[in-house]
Amino acid sequence: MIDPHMIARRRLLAGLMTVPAVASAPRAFAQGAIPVYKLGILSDFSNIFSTSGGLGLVEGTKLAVADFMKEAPNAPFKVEVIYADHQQKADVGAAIAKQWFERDGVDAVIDVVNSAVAFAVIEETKRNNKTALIGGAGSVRLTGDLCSPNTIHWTYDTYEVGNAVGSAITKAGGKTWFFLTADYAFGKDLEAGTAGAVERAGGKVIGSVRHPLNTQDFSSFLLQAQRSGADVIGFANAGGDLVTSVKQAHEYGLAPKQRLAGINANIVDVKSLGLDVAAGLTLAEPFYWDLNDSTRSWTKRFIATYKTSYPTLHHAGAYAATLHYLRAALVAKTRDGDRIVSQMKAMPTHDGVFSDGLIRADGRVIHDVHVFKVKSPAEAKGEWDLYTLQNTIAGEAAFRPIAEGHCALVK
Amino acid sequence: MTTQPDIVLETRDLTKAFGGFTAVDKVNLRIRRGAVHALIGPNGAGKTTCFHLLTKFIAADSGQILFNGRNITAARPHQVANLGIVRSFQISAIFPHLTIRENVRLALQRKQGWDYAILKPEAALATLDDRADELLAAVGLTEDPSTIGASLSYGRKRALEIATTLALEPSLLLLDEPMAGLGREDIARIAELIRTVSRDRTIIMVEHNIKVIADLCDTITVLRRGRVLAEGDYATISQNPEVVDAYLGGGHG
Amino acid sequence: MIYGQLLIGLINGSFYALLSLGLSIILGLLNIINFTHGALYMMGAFAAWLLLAHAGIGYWPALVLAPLIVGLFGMVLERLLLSRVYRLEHLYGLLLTLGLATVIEGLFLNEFSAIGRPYPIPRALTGVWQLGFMTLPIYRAWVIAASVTVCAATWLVIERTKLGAYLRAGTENPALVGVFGINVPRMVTITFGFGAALAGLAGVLAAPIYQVTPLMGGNIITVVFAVVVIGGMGSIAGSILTGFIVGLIEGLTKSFYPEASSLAVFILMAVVLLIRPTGLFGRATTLTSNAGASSHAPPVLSGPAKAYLMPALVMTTFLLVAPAMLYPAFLMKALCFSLFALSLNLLLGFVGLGSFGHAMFLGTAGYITGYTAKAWGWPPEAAIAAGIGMSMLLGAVVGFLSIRRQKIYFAMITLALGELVYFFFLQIPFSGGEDGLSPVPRGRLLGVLNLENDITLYYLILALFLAGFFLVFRAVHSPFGQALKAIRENEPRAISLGYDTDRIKLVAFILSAGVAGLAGALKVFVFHIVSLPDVFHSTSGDVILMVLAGGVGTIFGPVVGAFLIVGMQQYLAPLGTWVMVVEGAVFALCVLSFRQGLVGQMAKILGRPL
Repeated sequence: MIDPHMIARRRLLAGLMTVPAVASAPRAFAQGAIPVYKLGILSDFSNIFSTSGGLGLVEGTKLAVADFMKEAPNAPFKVEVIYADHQQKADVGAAIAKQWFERDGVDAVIDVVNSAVAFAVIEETKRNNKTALIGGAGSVRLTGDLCSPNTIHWTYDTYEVGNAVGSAITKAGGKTWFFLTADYAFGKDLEAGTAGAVERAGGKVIGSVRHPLNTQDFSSFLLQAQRSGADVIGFANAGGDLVTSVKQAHEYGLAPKQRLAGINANIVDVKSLGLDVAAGLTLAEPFYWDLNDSTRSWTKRFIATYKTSYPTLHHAGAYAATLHYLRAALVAKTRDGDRIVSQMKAMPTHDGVFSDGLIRADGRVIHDVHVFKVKSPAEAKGEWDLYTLQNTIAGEAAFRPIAEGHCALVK
Repeated sequence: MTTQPDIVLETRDLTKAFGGFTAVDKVNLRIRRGAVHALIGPNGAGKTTCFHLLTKFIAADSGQILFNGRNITAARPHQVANLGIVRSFQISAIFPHLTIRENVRLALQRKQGWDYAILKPEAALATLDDRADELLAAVGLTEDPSTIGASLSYGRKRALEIATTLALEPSLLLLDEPMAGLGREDIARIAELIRTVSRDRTIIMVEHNIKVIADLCDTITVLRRGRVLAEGDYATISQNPEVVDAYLGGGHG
Repeated sequence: MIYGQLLIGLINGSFYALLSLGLSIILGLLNIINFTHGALYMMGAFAAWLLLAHAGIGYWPALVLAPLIVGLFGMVLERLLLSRVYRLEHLYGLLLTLGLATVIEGLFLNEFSAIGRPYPIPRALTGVWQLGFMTLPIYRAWVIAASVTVCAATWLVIERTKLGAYLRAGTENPALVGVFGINVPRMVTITFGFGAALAGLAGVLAAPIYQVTPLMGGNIITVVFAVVVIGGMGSIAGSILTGFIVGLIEGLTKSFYPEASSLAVFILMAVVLLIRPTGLFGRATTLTSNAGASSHAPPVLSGPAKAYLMPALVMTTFLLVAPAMLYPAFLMKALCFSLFALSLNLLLGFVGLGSFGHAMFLGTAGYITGYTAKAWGWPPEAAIAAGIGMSMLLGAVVGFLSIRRQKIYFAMITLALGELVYFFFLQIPFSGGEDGLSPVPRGRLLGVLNLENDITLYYLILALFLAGFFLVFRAVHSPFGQALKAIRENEPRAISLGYDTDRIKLVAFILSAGVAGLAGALKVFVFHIVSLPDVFHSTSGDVILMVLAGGVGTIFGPVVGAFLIVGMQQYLAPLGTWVMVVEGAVFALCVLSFRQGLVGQMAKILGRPL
């Protein structure tokens, strides 16, 4: 098996070599030189989100470019892919985006995990009339008060996953809920999205506790959760906090007496926990590699070159967003971000990784969301055979109703 | 009718304890203006502590210190310096990486009150150069004013320290073992300097060198175990049997 | 309910106790402030994981092997690198270990990525005990038992045995002990190794319950430092006890005000430092400077004001034409950080105070300027003034609280207060919390100049940079600057000459805060955003690196250092975690052999002040 570390190094060097500035091409298709669409993946390549996103995003984007070139061999443009690490810092992200747009001829920014960075980047995108294909960030404000004619919000948001998990578990009998919430906007939004669904499904939130980001020890909070006697414990956090709190919940033996809802967990988190610890955890994702034949065949192609893990929802999101963007660019025949985005909204999405869907006026991409339960070690038949599908929430019903977002673009 | 002596510095029941140990125990001092007054005593007698109390570098537990009749017990060290009480240090304290002129100028600058003159250019300090050079000459430092302080011999560092102190025109000088670490020639020189300086001001010194004390000092206070044992001129105290006993007998700490 | 929280507090306390024990031994006996302690802890956890994943060696042997490995590594580190800085001021030891910690963490991140590794609880210790008031995982009970035993045993050895007596004597007076035939350097190395091994042991204990990730050291190190400072630097029993106390307090905070639980220890540290600076159990430390002795720091080549005219002209000319050659946004960011570095250099280089929380001024000004411009629509000149004003006010408060403390305590208290400011901005709604405050409009300067134009903004920032640069320069080359020199050279002497040194230092501190505030206020406009990293301790660390790399105590050093580091972060961004490694290495190199920094070195070569 090829050493993933070596692959990573090679890719890093490749990325480095594509960063130096290239003369920017004209905005609309001109006669003469072949225009180049430059796509920049701006994400976390070194910190906690580097495995659920990271270099897999580059892989997903490149796959999309290759697939697009196959389906439109006569497209009158070339496509280049570059990437950079924003180190989870908003001004670093904004600086990179600004330079990309103003000097390096980048047309679209992809992923931008970390909502704070995303908010900064979409400002630069608007200013320069480029496109932001947001995947990694999950704030509903991106299609709410911060919506813009240059932004598309792909993959997931806090309402989407919270709603799915909240309604699914409550309807299945988990009536009373206790939340363990990370004390920042994302965590609070995730709790709110889930709590809303719980109440709509006839359940009740009987308690919650907020923990600081990057907490090492959750014993205190888990104790409170245990004492509450709630049917379900909702983990409204992400990344290291999610993994640590679920790990320690296992240690304290909360399950199976209380059902654990990992809400925002993804396959990399589950792998990090191990099935013996994570078995029974409920979560929601819009993508799972083993969902159907289409996703399976796509995954096979993905893992042919990407060895670090099986594809996550973010990898799939980068693929789907890139594919749709290029298709729209082909039709719109322009470099102007807002016009490409309009075109993207005018075309239904069809990528084979998410369910077919469409893009709303507020920039929200509509696709099915699936609720999964983590398998026990006995049930798993392969290294990445992690989930059992519980149910699916179709399209529009999965997302926050458009009117509630108060997006200025929605008349 | 006896004239009241002019007392420049007075302490009343000055006391300082460290943990359970009382270093200075209800010490009463009365220093006459213009005198050269020594504080002596065997090791552990409390003279160093007493000295630090007078310079305000340590705060007393109880008792009072009066300067020209004014209560300075609560004053902080820099405040008493501005009142006219300036101390020296046991290990000669200069500003080693500055020139000897800059050393003295720092004291002159203080008198000008330019401490917070952030926007004043450096060149303004040049107006103090002449006076600084005067003071250097007065203590016998005739070398180039841009000599770095650290390059001076120890004896000349002492002299520099005294020049800097004089720049403030203090009325009371507190000298902490001024002869410590000096060779014979330097001792003679510094002693002469102190004699000259003492003409216009009061000096209190802590010292071990008996010969120097005998030469220079008008009054000597002997401390023992934190208390005043005896006081008087050299002749008086050197014949005091208790004083002799303190030094030769069991007085060593 | 409360009993459960208290017990949990004790369990966490035992980790703190074990970790602070190792740190305290190294600090108390060797006078080294070891910032690599967190990295060593992380290495212990990784050693256990690697042993299991690659050699099938389980938990119980790992309990012995991992500390041994880490201890050996610690000894190598001490022999090769740390021993070179013993003769310097303590601050350099701290900076070297900080740089080394960054390198180690960066290397591990690069190799293993940030994702947590699973490590199972050993079979014999799985399961829980039902205690009535809570369920107690058996493994956690083991953690308390193991920690208490190790702490007690170590304390006994140090305080009650001959070996311990040699150790304690050796640090008080190495020359004397050396005369008795004891190889002091070897003793120091072994002691350091032992402290490192303790950290490694804590790592193994942590592996089954915390996340095994390269970031785990960084998460815990600031707390452990606070514990050592609260307990009293140099008191071994004190740090053990304090570890448990802090665990308890943290546990209680988690029940009553959980959001603040990560802050509890810093508030405690700030309070203790204010009331009882030697710590709860500390004895008078050996870290204070003695009255009458002069400073160790060699002065940098300095000269009369007009000597700097030529280089200043060169710098100004370059900056005037730079936008034609370099990306203006990069230049603006570099100029802002240059101002920030100038402000820190004023304190570090000219007053001798190492502020470890300086980002609090950068960020506070940023937030005030950002908010007034965005929410209240203030014109940029008013917003900038407001930002500077607020940071100077904060400077007055922080300065007043910390100025009396000696060097390392000053660093610790500014670190603690910086954490408090971070927490404030994390919680207060107007800052936008994790989302940050954006978009901040640049507006029109004096109603006329449209700052949305990058070039216009650049020249405004350049003008204000030059004003700030000149202000700092003049402050240093003025009677005030002379007073600062006097304080740096021999503070007790300065006091004896009538200088109110506390107040002078405070004024310097407020001035520094103001210049840092100017930097922060301007920076907001460059990218239209202010966010939490601007007040985070890593930014405080960045600016220290800039000053070090450029040359502490030089005039142009901070500018060069800022351009270097900002440039590195920008242009090496594709290298991801390697940036961390490079930065840490530069840090370490600057301390080990390059203390003059770039500009200091240039000044030496050219034989003129810079």
